Amino acid sequence: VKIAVDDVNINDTNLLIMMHAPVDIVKLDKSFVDEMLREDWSDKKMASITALIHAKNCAVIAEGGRDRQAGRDSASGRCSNGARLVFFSFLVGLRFHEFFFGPSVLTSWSLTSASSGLGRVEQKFSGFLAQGVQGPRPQYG
Amino acid sequence: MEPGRFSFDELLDAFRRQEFFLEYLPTMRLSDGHCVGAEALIRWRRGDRIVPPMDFIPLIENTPLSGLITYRVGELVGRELGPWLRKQEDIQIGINVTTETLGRGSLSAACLTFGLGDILDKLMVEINERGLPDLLAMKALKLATSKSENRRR
Repeated sequence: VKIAVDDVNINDTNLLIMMHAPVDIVKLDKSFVDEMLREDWSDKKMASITALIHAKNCAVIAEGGRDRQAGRDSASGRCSNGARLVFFSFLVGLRFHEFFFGPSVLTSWSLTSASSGLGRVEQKFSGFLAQGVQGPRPQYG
Repeated sequence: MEPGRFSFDELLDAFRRQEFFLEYLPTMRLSDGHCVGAEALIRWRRGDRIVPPMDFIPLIENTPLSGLITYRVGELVGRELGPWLRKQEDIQIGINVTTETLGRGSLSAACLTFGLGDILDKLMVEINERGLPDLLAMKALKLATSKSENRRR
C-alpha cells in the first residue's frame, strides 16, 4: 500500500503529517497549484512544503486546472466540448478500463495539460511530478 | 442544495439502499501522457440526480457512516476493478480513508474480504489534514510502507 496525503495546501497540518507520516505521495490541492503558477510565488510555508517533498523523495500528483474552453462538467460527467470530454469526466466502472487504454484520450489530455500550465509546476518540482496530474473535480447540480 | 439539508437518517437510508456509487478520476503521467491510475470517489445518486459531493460528504465525516462509506468504497473497487487490476502493471487506485480506521486491522480485513488482499501494492491510501493519524495509525502506516518497500526489493 502506498500512503498519500491528499489536498495538500499551505495548511500547517499538512506540514505536520508530511513530517511525521511515512508519506509516499503528495497530492497538491488546486489552490497550491494555482499559487505555484503565480510569477511572484514566494510563500514561505509553500517553500517549506516543496522542500519537504524533495527531501522525502515523494512522488507528486497535482490537481489540474479547469480548462475554460472545455466548459463545465455536468452531473452525468459530460462537458460541452466533446474533444476534451474524457479528461474532465469522472469515469464509472467499465469506462475507466476503456479510458486506461484509449489512445484518443491522450490527445485530449495533452491539449488540456498544455493549456493548464501544469508543465510549469513540473519544472518547479524538477521531475518529482512524474506521478501525474488529475483533472479538477466536477461541479454537480 | 445547502450543506446540512440531509439528516443522518437520510444518509443512512441512502447507504442501505445502495445509492452510493463510485466515479474514478484518472491520474495522468506528465512525462508520457499515460493514465497511471485513478482516485476512487464516492457519489450519491438520489432519484434521477447526483447530489453534489460537498452537500453530503461533510455530513458523513465524524459519524459512523464515515467508516461504512470507506468500506463501501473498498467493496466497490474490489468488485469493479479487482480482476482487471490484477492484470495491470504500474497502476495505483487511490482510496480516501478516515484515519480513525487505520491501525485497527479493520481496513486490512476489509481489503481481504473485498478481494484486494493480493493487490495491495496497487492501492494508495489517501489521508488528509481533516484527520490526523494517531499513534496506532502511524504504526500501521509505517508497517504498510516497509512491507511495500520489502516487496519492491
